[in-house]
Amino acid sequence: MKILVIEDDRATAAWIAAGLAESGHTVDHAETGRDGLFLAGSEPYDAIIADRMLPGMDGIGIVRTLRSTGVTTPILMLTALGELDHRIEGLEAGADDYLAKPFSFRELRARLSAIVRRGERSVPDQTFRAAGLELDPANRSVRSGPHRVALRPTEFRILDVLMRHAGSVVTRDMLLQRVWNYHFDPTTNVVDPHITRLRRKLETGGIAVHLRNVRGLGFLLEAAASPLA
Amino acid sequence: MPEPDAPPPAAETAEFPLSTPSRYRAGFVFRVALLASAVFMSVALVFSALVWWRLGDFVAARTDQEIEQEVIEQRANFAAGGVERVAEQARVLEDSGERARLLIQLRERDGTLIAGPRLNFGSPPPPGWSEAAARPPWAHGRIPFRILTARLPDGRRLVVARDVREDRNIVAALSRDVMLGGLLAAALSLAAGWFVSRRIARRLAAVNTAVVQVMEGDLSGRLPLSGSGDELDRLLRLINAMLERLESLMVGLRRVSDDIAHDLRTPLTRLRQRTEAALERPRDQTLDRKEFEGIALEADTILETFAALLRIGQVEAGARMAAFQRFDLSAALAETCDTYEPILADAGGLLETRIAPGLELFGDRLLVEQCVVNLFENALRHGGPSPHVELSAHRRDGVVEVVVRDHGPGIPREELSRVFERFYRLDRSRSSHGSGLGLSLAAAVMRLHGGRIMLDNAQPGLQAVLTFPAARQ
Repeated sequence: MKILVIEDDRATAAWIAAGLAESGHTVDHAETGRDGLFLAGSEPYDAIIADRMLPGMDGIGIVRTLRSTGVTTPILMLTALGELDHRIEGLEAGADDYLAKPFSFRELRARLSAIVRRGERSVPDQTFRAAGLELDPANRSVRSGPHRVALRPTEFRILDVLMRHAGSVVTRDMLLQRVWNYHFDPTTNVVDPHITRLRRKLETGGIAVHLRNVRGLGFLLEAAASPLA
Repeated sequence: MPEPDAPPPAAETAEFPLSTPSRYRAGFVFRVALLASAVFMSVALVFSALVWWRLGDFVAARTDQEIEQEVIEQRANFAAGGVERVAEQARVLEDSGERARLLIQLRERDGTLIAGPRLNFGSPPPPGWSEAAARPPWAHGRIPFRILTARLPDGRRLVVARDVREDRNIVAALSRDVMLGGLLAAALSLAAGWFVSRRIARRLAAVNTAVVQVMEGDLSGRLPLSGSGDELDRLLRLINAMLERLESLMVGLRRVSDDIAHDLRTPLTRLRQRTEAALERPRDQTLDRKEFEGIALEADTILETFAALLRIGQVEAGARMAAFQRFDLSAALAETCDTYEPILADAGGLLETRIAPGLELFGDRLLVEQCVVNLFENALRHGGPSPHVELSAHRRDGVVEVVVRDHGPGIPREELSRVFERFYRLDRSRSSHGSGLGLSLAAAVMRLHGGRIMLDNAQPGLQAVLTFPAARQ
């Protein structure tokens, strides 16, 4: 992938660029908002990572300008301002996701691949299939072959997020934000007990899922091996 | 060659005079007062001119009517008794002329006087209305007369003259009064204008002084109110409310920076010590991975504390109040319990809930949820090895109460009030997790919602009671 990083702090930019290059991506770097906007408008990128606070033009301004000129490239906004209001402002401006500093590189990579894949997502409130599962919002249940399991609201939301990002890692932070709307760290690991229960419930109901723990990062839902194999 | 940039205009605005309240005296307010008094004076002038003019007309018309009446009467006399009767009347009036202020003359066609006082109103007096001055026998000087010369049926002339001294006097007195009144009104309106403008100027000067004081950094300063509740007072009250808000924001900001300076220094110092210890190892010795994990953990704690402090600061500044809306507290609590039930179960504990349905609050749902999460976290941390937590929510006496109780050891009585202080921890060892800010945040959230949090020993266990004002129906 070709990725544009707009970040005024050189150390942070170099760290992101090195990490992305190591994963096989091509990285362009702009230090100011204006340079970033120019590059984003003139080159085709697969994704843009933009800092919230930049000299010249801030991240919100860049996102707004790009969206108003019809550029639909997925944008991940970075910020030292993690507060909920700022997140909402960023998302409303047209960013696809919002990541508060400090973050681990693995978190960044997971979020990046999530927003790049997001283009494939289906309409909400409709049955959709992923990883060999079929999620049905109408009666809040999941189906796989002949088996159907009814889900509690939280379980349904977890599975929904996992399935929408099937094949890529969903971090604990992403789950906290999207399932529980918690934009703070509740200290205790809230996510894992729920994942464990969900996994157990699906297995009891006869639905085999490959829901892997990715150590220190989050979870990965993969398509179950074909029953014939 | 590039032109040198023009000097920024900001330099001029920076020299805005901050302390010249006296300028107002000759300025805007005075001009308004002057204009008002000028308008008032012109209105008074037009009004008195109108009165003067109409009244003069009225007096003159009354006199003319009286004269005409006399002519009609003498014509009647003529019809009844001929010219002798009229002549007799003329003589009677001549004798009582002073009292009547009216006299009549009977003249021949050529103007020769037949009867009546020997006064010359022009010879012969012109027919119709005229005015002339003459000296009647009862007066010392010449007196102005209003005269009507009419023709009798036999061709003789009847001259009716009325003394108009009184009319003239009335009109003169009226003009004098109107003039005097106008002058008085002008003086009064000027004085009133001066008085009002001085009063307003004084109030503005006091406001200016207060604003300068605030600008010099004393945010506790407030603008003086006159107490009359007028428009200026209402504006000042609004500005005072704004200052109040600014002050509380500033105080909140100062407290956050104080807290950061005070309480982040310790963990930062510890981080530095650990890093130094790692660096001081002999070069050939491999670094322990555990050491780095410890350092990263220390950094995480600092960041967590920092985030919590900022959040408390934001909550205390009331910035989130704008996002307040009515929400279903019962549903929010049910969801939070749903989230924590598996966690408590995994820890070998138990969560019991009794939530009354349909409880509503006006507030920030996310903050209230975080408040309850913090109480659950406390219960998990201090509620013993297999934490048994009870949550109940109900309406009572117009308030909504949320009670979270654990069955742990509770808090020593003397420490109950101190746990809300920032960074206060019951166990002072640094092994326990958390920033020590959970209850401070809970308290800030409750204050923001106009409620409060109370801690109590339930024996056994600690009981936290959140009291919210119920949303208005």
